[in-house]
Amino acid sequence: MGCFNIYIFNRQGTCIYYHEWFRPKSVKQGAGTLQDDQKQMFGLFWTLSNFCATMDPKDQDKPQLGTPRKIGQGCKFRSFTANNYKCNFLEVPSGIKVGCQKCTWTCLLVLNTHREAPDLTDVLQALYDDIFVEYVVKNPLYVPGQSFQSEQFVNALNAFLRQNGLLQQQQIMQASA
Amino acid sequence: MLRGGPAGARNAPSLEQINAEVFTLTYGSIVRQLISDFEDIEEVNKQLEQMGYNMGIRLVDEFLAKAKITRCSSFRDTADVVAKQALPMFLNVSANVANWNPDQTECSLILTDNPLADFVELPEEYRELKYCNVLAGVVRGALEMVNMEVECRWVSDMLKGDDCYELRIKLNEHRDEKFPFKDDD
Repeated sequence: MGCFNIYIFNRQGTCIYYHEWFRPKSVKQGAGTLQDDQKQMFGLFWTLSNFCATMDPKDQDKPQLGTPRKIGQGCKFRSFTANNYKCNFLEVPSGIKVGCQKCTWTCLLVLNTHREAPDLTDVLQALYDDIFVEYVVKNPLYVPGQSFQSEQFVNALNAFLRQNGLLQQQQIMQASA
Repeated sequence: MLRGGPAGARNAPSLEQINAEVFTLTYGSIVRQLISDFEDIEEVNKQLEQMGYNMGIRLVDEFLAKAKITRCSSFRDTADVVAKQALPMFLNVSANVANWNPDQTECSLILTDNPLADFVELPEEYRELKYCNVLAGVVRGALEMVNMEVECRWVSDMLKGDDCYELRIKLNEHRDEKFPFKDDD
């Protein structure tokens, strides 16, 4: 089991960080360009969050579908699972959104023991707390609203995912190359 | 200013601390330098506020990561969180929230102790200087990142002879999340 790719968006929809470890189907076959792909991912998360908040069975006053929503109003959307990948999300009150796609498809033997990827909310929260805040927000060269490149961030990200067992062996080799 | 260090256990991140006197003196020398660069006191006030704003927009992420607060359901809750959790975490002072207006859109943060202004005396010719304006900027920047547009201004200042520091916060708008891309793109 391993991570496919990770997106970090800010409130304006700009993808401020994107990294992929393993993407067999190229972007051209999917969205066309990387920018379109990122826009689609953002839009997907946006629509699903709104939809979730509207469908919430526990909420007393639910927003109507399509009405603008404040951050944090309504329930939080966490992930969706397809037959061969799982997409996990985390949205922070300051508007930063982290999305991570992860493989659930493995050989049959492992599937018997690990049915599917566990809930990655805690992992994403730790990623935000310990890695994004430490290496990006505190970096004086980071301009909020623009994409960033930071070697320290990438190293910390790879180390963290490796620790959580989310990088497969060949991905570790690729990551350190 | 307390700055976060590398987190140990997930639930108790350690915060780096800086010597309070070093902090106060550094801030004092920044203000001094701004005054000699700009010479116009109003301009210095604006610059301090802008610096505070730039700090606030980054500080809020760190606060959210370290404080693990639950969602604030209203401006009242937000003001309480700022006074009782954010200020102690970053400045090691606690503030009270008071003087709410009937609409619940304006309040005052009252500080009796302000590490920015320790050992400071304000001479007569700098009567117009808002020495702690950086704090007003920080609050404005931080709240703007969580979609609350506020205005912050100082109404009492101990450096000018009042008995406490009072920062008046006025909520202009609690914005909704807007989809940033046009639908036909």
